[in-house]
Amino acid sequence: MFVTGKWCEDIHVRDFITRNYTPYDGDESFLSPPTKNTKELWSQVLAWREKEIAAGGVLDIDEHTISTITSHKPGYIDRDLERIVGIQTDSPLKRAIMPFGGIRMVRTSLKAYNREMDPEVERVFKYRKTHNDGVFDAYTPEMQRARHAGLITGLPDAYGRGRIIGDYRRVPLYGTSFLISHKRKGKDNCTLDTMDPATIQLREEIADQIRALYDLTRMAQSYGFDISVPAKNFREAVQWLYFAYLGAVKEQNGAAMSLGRVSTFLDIYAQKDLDEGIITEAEVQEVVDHFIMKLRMVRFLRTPAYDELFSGDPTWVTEAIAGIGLDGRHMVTKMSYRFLHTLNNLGPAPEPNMTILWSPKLPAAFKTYCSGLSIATSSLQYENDDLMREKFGDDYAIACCVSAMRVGKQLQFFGARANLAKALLYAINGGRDEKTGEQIGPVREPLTGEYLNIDQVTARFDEMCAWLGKLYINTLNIIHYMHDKYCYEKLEMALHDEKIVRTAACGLAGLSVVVDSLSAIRYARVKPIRNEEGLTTDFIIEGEYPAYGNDDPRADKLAAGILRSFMTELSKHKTYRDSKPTLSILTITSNVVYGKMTGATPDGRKAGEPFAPGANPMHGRDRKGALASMRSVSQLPYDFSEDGISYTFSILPATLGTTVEEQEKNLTGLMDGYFTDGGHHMNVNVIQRKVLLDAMEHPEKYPQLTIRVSGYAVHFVQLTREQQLEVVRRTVHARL
Amino acid sequence: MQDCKNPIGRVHSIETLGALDGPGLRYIVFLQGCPLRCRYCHNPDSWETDTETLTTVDEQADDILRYKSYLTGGVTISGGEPLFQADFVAALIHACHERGGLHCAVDTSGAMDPASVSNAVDAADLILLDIKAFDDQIALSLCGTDTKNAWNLLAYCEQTKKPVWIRHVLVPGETVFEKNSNGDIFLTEEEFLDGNPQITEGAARLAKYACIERIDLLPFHKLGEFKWENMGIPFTLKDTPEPMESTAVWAARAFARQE
Repeated sequence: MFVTGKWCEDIHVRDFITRNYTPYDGDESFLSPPTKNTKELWSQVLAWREKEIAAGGVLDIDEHTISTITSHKPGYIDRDLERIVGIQTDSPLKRAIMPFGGIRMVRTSLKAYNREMDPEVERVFKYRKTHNDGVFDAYTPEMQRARHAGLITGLPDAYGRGRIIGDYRRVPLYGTSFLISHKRKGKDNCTLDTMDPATIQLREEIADQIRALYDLTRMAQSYGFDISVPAKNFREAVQWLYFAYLGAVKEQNGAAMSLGRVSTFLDIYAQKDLDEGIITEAEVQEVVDHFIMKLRMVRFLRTPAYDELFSGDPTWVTEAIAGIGLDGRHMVTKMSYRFLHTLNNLGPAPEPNMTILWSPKLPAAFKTYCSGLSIATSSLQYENDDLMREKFGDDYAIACCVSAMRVGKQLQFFGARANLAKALLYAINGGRDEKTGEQIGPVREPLTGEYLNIDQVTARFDEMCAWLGKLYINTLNIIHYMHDKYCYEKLEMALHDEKIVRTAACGLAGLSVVVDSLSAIRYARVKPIRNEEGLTTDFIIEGEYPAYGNDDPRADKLAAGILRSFMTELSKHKTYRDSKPTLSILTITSNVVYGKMTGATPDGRKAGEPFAPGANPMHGRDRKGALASMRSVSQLPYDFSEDGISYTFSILPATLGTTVEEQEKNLTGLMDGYFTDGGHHMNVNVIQRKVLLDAMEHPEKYPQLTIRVSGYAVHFVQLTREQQLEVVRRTVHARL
Repeated sequence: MQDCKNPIGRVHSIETLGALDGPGLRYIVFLQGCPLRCRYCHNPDSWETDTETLTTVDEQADDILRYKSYLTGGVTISGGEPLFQADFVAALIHACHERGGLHCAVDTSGAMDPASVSNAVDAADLILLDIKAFDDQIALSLCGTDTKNAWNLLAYCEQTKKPVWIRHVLVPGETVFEKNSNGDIFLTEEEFLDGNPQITEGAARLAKYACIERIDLLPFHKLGEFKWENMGIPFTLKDTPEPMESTAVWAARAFARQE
């Protein structure tokens, strides 16, 4: 029996966890290898994946059926072997169409893969608008220009916004019947005196949520399970939870579809079954392995343009593991190990995006195990639990790569990012685009003079950021109004409270480019090169300047100042549903595309050259070694970029130490230091450069080679050649 | 004028993340200036004594302490030849001890007379001693000097119970031989040991010192070759290969047997 508490009366998953979980201080020696079943099933999955790669990345598409929670009949890989069932369509890796985000994206995708639009589907959308249509009906010409010029890009205006994490644990813990009755009460409670738009909207949404819970129950029924009641044992708990997640990825083609923070929750069920002797450790691991296989098989239909931006077919099934509880106990359980152990049992993989909520206070054995896995697989990312716990408590999860939110109580309106390096060039060019000459920003006299003057540039840049901040927030307001209206996440929101905190999650790209540019203008001499129309298209730098990434306060203070002032600008404006503006410094792989769209910058970066990923210093400008680089990043103020600060660290294994034990110890020390210093996030790649080069030439030899790029992991061979080169070029810390 | 409490040093460069020069994560200070001219040197730009930045002990210690939360190991002072600036090294070690309780290692070739640098050696917690060759003829041809001072330093460490890590670079055709006089590659460990008396003798000689905690054999590499090119000096080991894996294994075993 579980220890009872508040969770029995009301929906309170955290209460259930803290009362019932068993912290585990030991090492990995209890773990089980893959069972015969698992090996057989995984080889079948790998065979499907090989077929998918051979088919050019997309195996099959069901272009006839609009995907909903209940749209497809049950599908299996091998019914006799699968311990956990359920796939998105009726056949493995077959992709579904999800047109509510934008019918246009479905059309483009089908065309790219030589499929025809089903006339029946077309007919539906003759009468039904999609999110994308709504957004473009409302966009102002100014917004369209900024988007087109690449000043604000990656916006979720043509597809599902994602970044919303349903509390999928509620389904196994309570069963859908309880959840439905609870939602009914919630709806009754919002019968206010005045039926204002906000109340009407919420009532309609809750009605949709209830419908989604019924649909989910029906979908599970089609697989032969009754999830209207709570899960009775571990396997059911995993199955129920997976159904909930599956419902979400059948309904939404979201930019990132995180899983949440489920491992320690599930450990409670496994521990109970183990204590009662009704399951063995090998059987527990088998269920986990099969569950993870399913998560590795989530697929969405996306356009080639999307892939260029976010390479490697990512889904961001992010799972947050470990952390420390508010009561001071660490939250590492045997299930934390079992989830990570799938990287051994099934081999390395980018999904699920396993994220370690790190604290120096985590048990030593667990830290060593994580470091060892990073060294062996480069498949993990790490985030600072001590930093986030203060703001988000001890039951938060990570949306996408770095965005923390309280599970079931908070969501974000995803806002992609603004290209701040371009904004700086607009400041210099009086609002005109450096590549096209087109007037995008407010009209100003372009800066004249032989050399750039720091006071002039700073004043113009501040003015440009003020304009951009307002435009950006207003653009997001339109996008999320329309998304709620036409593409509302019914099931994911059914697994949230009714009263939730919303954030307007803005982002910026090109931080290190802007910092180094301002530093160059301030500490060296920068001569603009103007073309015949007076447009500055290149720069000559005379002298040296302190570059970001060397633990030099002159540059690092500039960086902090930029975050502070851009965040302040964003906070000045009224937001949709009173969402709280936040900021992330995260580019994913888009730093390559942003670089391509941006002209030469005053830091000496040439036109078209990639930006550094996320908050990383620019390639090759860090001269004092990796710790200096980390210190610069760790000094960025999280209070002004609460949506996350992404740092990608790549190192050659031999640089970390001579033996594996030394390497593990040193990597652990590195992370303890970085997070103690206040760093927020770190991707860890421990990788041989020659392996990467060989993989570029012989991709067939490295189907599972996984590397971390800003905020998520990818199969290296799935990156475009340009992105591969960028990864190889990026500072891989090595010392002679 | 040198302030004797806060002497000035010539710093070549720093590396904030060192994991190979002493235990744990270490901040490495590379000092400028070296009396040796080793033909395999990967930092020839650290030879001259009259270049690079001047830094006081306090400034250098300030910078080291910024990284304290990372430094599970401590600090290693390398070069160049750090003991060329023994007063600076001694003062820096004292500052790191006093202000941060940091473990300090000195990475030296032992080229200096230990009597003249004992203040720095005494202050250090660990000496990383690079024995250039176990045969003085080889040392002379490779580095332009014999190893007498290095062995004297080792004796001094033995006497003062100072922990030492020995390092020795395996340079094929110079410090280690992979072929017999006919040019045939050694195929067995026995052949290898027969053809490398300097290795077995060196191993036996080191075995007498209780202060030695560890012996690292470092394979020769050419990653610093570009620096020689940049400086316009001929790199005489251009055609020297990196040692074969068997060489590294056999040599390591020869030293392990003696421990």
